[in-house]
Amino acid sequence: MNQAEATQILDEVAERLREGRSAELLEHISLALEGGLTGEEILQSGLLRGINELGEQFKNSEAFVPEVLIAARAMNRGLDLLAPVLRQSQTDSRGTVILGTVRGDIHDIGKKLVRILMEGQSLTVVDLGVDVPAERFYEAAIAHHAQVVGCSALLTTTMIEMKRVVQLFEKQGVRDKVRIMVGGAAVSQRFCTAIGADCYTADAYTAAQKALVYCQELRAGGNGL
Amino acid sequence: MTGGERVMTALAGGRPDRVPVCPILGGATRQILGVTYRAWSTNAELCALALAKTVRRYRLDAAMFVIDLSVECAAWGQRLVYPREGTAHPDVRAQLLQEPEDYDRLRPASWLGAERMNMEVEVCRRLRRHLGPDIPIFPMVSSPLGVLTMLRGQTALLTEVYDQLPAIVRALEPITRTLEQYVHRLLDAGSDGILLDTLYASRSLISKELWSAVERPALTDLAQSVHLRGRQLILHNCGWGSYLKEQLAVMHPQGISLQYSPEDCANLVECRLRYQTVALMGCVDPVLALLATPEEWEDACRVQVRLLGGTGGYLLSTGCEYPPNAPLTLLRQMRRAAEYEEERRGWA
Repeated sequence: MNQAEATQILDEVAERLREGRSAELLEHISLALEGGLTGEEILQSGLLRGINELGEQFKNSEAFVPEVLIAARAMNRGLDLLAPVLRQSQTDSRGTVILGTVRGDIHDIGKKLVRILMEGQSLTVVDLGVDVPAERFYEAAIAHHAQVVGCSALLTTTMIEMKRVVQLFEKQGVRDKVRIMVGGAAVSQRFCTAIGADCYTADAYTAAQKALVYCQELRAGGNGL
Repeated sequence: MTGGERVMTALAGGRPDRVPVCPILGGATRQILGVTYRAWSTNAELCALALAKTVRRYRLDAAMFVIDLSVECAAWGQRLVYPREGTAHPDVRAQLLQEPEDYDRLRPASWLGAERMNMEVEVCRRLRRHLGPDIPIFPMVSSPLGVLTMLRGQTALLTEVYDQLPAIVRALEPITRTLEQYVHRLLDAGSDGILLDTLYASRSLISKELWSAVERPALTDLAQSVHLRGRQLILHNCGWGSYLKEQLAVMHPQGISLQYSPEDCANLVECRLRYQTVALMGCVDPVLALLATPEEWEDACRVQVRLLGGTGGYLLSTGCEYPPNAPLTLLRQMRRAAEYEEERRGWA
């Protein structure tokens, strides 16, 4: 496979992923592997490129929640196909994020979108699920040496719990070793500032980009957990 | 003017003696009785009394209210969780519709089992008794797609919406038939109109094309059931970038309740200018009630009135439900903001 053919097939992998066409995606991944492309090339220049392009479209209201969920489903199938090949090559994580919906809140669709797009940035995401107390965010951050803690809440009655997360990290003396991000329908920059969190983002793609920056900063500075 | 006269004048596009003050009330009103959220959302008399006392104490112009978004789905047997001090919600471990094949098993709900919808009807009946004829009552009704989401789970439904489009559209039919009956019962109980939640008609969730294909016909029917009774219809959409033009074209509401500007307007002022044939309700960010001082809150309300209420056809409200954990005393500031702006207009 020459360079032009390789570029074309990777473009088609990215496009099938953006469109959520699982069967065609798997066919193109197989073709790419048969043509001699490595798992890492297909992952980076096909799948991750596709999900990040979709994330940009999502941010610009050119794609919506169903499109991202369907693409994520296709991506998972693509990753399953690539898994044996990827084990043979190193795929470095660019950082670790602890993600969860705070205690008392069971809404998770926004969190799911954030997770998908963070994984698209090659971040390792530890998803704690929903109704997560502050202590679990802290314990998971310590256990996984995370750089970022992301808290989601949809309700005004539950977003207050985010303040407890911030306070717990302060109390444990490790507040400066993580970056705490907050998001959700009821959350705002003003709220983020009021509770002492580091960052509020209005959309999932920006959240993923910001998390990557935080991970890179903390890793480079050697000041993580 | 009475509250009712103000509200109806504004909904007709006119300019009353001052901007009507109609926050979307909910669980916050439980504070006035000192009861738990669970008690408030499951007892018709407590709910009605709390709403009525709040409206009276803060001299609001209408009782626009939402109990929660799980009132309707319970009628089909969706198991709910009732937190002691939180909003009722579906038990996500026990969604009624487990597989896509379950969409076609939906039938119109039986009123014998529609405990929560019957409760909301009773709330309206008791609210009318408590408030008398001068304060209009507007209960919120969830959209058909909103109800289906509660039965299937939002992630599941939105992941399969393209694959299962015909089945999802078919599933909205029995839901819509049930909601039409619900609307009639609410109006029979003394409600002056309906607040219809149309969140899915916004960029927050799905594309305009998908919304048109899935829910537009169902909402058209539901809106018609209000119009047939000669009552007021207010569409409530707290999503950002709502598809307002498309909703107005098929639902013909008297009012629209917004938090953010629609997709074809740069801001709410432009929205007010562009859509002058329909009254605008809103658009104070309810979260400010948790973050702002009373003075800041009142200022925020004044700005809304000043920018949006000058030519009539406007009702001051929160962009979504008044937060359950915000102090009720801030409702006083809303009314003061409307009164102050009216006085200020008189000075000019």
